Amino acid sequence: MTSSPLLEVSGLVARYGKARVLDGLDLTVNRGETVAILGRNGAGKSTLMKCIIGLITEKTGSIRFNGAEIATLPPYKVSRAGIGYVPEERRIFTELTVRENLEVGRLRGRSNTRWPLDRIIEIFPNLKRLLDRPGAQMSGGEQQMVTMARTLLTGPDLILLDEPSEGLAPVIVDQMAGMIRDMQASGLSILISEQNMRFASKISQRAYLLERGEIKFSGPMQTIATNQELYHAHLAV
Amino acid sequence: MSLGLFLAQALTGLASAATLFLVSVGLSLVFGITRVVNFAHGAFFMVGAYVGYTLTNYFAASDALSYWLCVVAAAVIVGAIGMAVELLLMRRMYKVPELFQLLATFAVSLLIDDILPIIFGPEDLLAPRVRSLRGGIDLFGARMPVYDLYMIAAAAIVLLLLYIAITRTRWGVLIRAATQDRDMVGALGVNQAWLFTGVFTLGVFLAGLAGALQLGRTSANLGMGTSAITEAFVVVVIGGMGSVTGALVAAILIGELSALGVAYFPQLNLVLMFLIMAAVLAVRPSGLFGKPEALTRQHEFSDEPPLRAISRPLAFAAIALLALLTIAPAVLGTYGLSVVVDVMIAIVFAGSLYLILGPGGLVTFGHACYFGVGAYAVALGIRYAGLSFASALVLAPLAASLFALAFGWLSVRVSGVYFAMLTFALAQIVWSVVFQWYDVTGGDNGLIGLWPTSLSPLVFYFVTLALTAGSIAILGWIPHSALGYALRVTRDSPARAAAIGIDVRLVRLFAFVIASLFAGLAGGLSAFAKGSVFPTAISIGRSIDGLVMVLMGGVESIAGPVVGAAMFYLMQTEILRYTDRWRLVLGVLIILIVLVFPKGVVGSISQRLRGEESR
Repeated sequence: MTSSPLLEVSGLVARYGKARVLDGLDLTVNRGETVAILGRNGAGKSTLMKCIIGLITEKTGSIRFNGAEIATLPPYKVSRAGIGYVPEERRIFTELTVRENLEVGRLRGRSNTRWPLDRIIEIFPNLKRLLDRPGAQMSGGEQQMVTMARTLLTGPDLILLDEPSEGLAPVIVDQMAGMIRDMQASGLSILISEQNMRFASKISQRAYLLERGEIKFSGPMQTIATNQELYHAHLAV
Repeated sequence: MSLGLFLAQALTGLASAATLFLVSVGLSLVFGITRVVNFAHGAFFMVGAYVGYTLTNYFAASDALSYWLCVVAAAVIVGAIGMAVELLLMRRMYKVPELFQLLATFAVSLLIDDILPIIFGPEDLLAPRVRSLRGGIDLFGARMPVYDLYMIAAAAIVLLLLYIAITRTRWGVLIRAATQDRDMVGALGVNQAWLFTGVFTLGVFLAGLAGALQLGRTSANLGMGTSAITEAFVVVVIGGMGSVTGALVAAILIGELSALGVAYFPQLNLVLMFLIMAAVLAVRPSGLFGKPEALTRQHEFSDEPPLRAISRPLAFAAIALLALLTIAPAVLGTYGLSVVVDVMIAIVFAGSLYLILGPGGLVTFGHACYFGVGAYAVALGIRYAGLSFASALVLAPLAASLFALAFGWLSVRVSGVYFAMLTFALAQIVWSVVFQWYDVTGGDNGLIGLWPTSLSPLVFYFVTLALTAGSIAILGWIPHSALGYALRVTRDSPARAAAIGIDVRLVRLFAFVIASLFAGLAGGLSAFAKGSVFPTAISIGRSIDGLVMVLMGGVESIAGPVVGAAMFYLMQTEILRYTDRWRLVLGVLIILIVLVFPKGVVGSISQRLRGEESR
């Protein structure tokens, strides 16, 4: 089974009303791999993430994870199957403290040996002094840390990062690249959507170019990062 | 008033506040997490009183301990009923438009309203007296019922436990998180379904507890559910939905002001409640502790097709119907004509509601208020001012639109479920005033003998026909007018409407007043048609009838309420022939409509005809 991909999306179609946002999308993520979805605003990146985690139910096609079909599962079952979701808007519970935010993600019952809180604080050392802060009083970078940590506490094998660099200062983005490498080092697989090519190329092995709900190109990150033609056709604003 | 008497009043107020808090906090918590306003909450409160009565009687609870055990057991039983309702019904309801959620929970309360008298009979039931709980204690020279102190203590204990559960437990963390963003909680691996079931059960348990606790103060009676839900709505509207603190503060505010109001101006008690609500909403539309609502799309019939001009076949059908009705008196006898008149009145009422509900996208649960005001305007005008038929009929829509101006000014400050709750509470306040003001309105004896001797039934028939045809033409045209465009924009995207310079509140108020004007006209006609007016003209039952009519027909065009009203009226008449358990039938019918035909009967059929795939 180890040869089969961890995540296998095939023929995924998603609609908002009558508009097709994803139009027959195929994509795979292998174990231990970091894969980038690159595309402009409105290309369908966030929709893809929401389809995988199960927040969008009006979709057709197949989503297989660890060999099992998950396309029809509700979000909490997808999460328990081992997929973590870090949304673009971060969606911190602003009424809760950081500690309580983490508590929502903390798994009960099933022990989360790979991502105990100590390990997470090693990756995000700043979290320690934030624990009792209200969720509403944080900078963008701090919010991004909390939301990643919260998701890691659910003990995922694959994590979906939806435009994590959006709205962050370049220096924070660089720090984040370091944190993501730490996560990769523990064997976590990552599907990341980005518009920031520089950042994406630092951390991903493969990439898909998404435009108007269709994959226009896929291949090693290296190829896309160095191909000016592809960049201008599908990414440049 | 002495200090002692004042204190005694204040404590009595606090005891009422205890009940208000227990009922409202459950309603508020359930809404916070599920976004469903549970109209059946008051009915569960009533069930709590009846179950408590049964238990205290069965176990002959004569000492304090067994009494309290019975009260808690009653709350547990009601909580279990609530859990069953959540699992069987509510669960299927979280994704449907909010109007249907409100209607479905209202249907549950209809079922309870009709089932309770079958089991317990129609009389008020008094629980056995427990000596040690019935005494009074002296307080600065005034006597204070000791049971009130127990009520206050019970509410304080619940408040404390609730506070601990919400701030100190994982369950509380999940509830607070889900109140803010339930999708994200699900994406983090939490099964929301059980969270919803848990909170719903807790809320109903608290309502049952409050109901059972009432037995020490009053009898179990069939009116207590509706008054409890009305007061609970007022409390959560003032306090802010989803806020425990808000429920507490507003409950104390209302409890105290009512108690002191009863002492100082007993006639103005209900008006006082209205004034408090108006004052709070004028300053803080989302309540004292509520968060401002996001200006998102409220209307949820999201795949409604663009509005089309009246189609040719439909226009022919309308003309044919009109011609048929014009020659009808040649065929129909007096009884037949009166049936047609009743149906036409129902059509005008449903048509006016359609304007608010369809193009306006606002869910009102108090539309009967304006029907009733129209009807009472006619009755009072004839009784006290000797008005003629024509001038009384002009007065009806005028009076209704004046009320709509005042109440609408308040109501359009909010939208969504708040609008539903507020319109409901305002209508109930008017109903209570009419019901209690015997000297002028005759209370539940109503006002009778209104038929002007000079009026012939045939003339009245044609007047009604002309007014109905005119009203429906205008109500059908408005959505295509400038006002209608503005109104639909405020429905589909209030934020964008505001950004292009549309005064959202003003447009809504305008539509609300126009709709109420026609409702008032329908009410005025009905006063003549029946020759009498009763408080039921204003009751929540009539508002719900209107909603069901529109839903049966569909909200997509004026044809919906016309067909729906006729269907509803004929069905009601037929069913009432066989059984007087009308509410039971209506409750089941509503639940079926919501589950099977979420777009209304006409809407669902026309959608199928257009061959669109359903969701």
